[in-house]
Amino acid sequence: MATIAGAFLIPHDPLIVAAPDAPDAAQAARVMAGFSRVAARLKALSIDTVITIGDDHYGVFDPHCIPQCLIGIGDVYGPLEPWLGFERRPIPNNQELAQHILNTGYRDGINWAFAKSLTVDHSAAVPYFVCYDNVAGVRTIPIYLNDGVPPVITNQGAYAIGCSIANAVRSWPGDERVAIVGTGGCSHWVGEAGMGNVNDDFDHEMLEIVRRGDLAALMALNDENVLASAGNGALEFKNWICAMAAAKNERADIFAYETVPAWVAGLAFAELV
Amino acid sequence: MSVYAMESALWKLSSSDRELARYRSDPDAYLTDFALTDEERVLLKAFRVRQMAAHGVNGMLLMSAFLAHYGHDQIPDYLRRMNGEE
Repeated sequence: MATIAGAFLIPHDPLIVAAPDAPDAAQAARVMAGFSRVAARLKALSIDTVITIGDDHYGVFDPHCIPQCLIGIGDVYGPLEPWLGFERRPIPNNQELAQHILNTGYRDGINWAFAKSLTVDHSAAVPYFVCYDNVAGVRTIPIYLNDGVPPVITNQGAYAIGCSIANAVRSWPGDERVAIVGTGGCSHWVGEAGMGNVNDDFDHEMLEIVRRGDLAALMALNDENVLASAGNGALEFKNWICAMAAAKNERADIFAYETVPAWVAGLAFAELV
Repeated sequence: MSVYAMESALWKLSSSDRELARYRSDPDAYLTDFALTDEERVLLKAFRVRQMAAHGVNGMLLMSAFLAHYGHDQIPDYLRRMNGEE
């Protein structure tokens, strides 16, 4: 039986790779050390499959169809954005397990959209190229939640998807060792007035909720309040809900947080334990 | 008001080099593909991002389209415009 052997929250800020010299060098180094620590943990935990929970920034999906949740079950390529500085190339996907997550989700009442061919944006590509690509043999299953194009997914919807992912992994007869990675989050305003601001008080409150594994408190957050306090990018806390629902963790080790106005975001790293 | 048509026009030019080239070479012709009002065409031709945001256009998409058109080093200019400092 496959197992969820690890779970993490990590940033996916595109400026980390597109503008690496924008912040203070020491601060940038601390952020990159966060990715290195996660990569080391993936190796130590013998992870072979990473389920990446990210969100589109209105680049992958067009106005003709905005899925509330989507799983890549086939070919995966990335990154979508050439300005990230990485050459687009195939990203290995655990297609069999992805198909099983899709089928399990249907039985669990999840209205998955699915992609047989998917070019991922920075929300899945930055974690892959900066972190997992350094871990030999790792495949990744990309999952998109709609956090960015209103009406966005509900907190309950994100939770149900996480629970279904856990059901799927635990019912898969393979011997995969799976990590769940929720990406993005913390305060940031994307393309809106206020972009460049960081509300570190909000971020610390969020991270305290995560630290104590209080999924109920995370789910009780109101979208309008989050938008007003921390910007449209902060709605990526729904990725965290999904990851925590899948991981069923008791608490979290918050091992890095940086307020990085030059990268227009607060950036946090956590291991869900 | 047709915010959806505005978003379609912006999404296409931000995601296709060919569509971006069409917009740049003849924006009036490019915009005839979409059911836009005269006011919306003016906003799109001038890339008035603050006004388009007030109109309901998604900020993420606005920024992607703006940077596709003007260059990905133009975030400061985008922010000036978005914050009403044009």
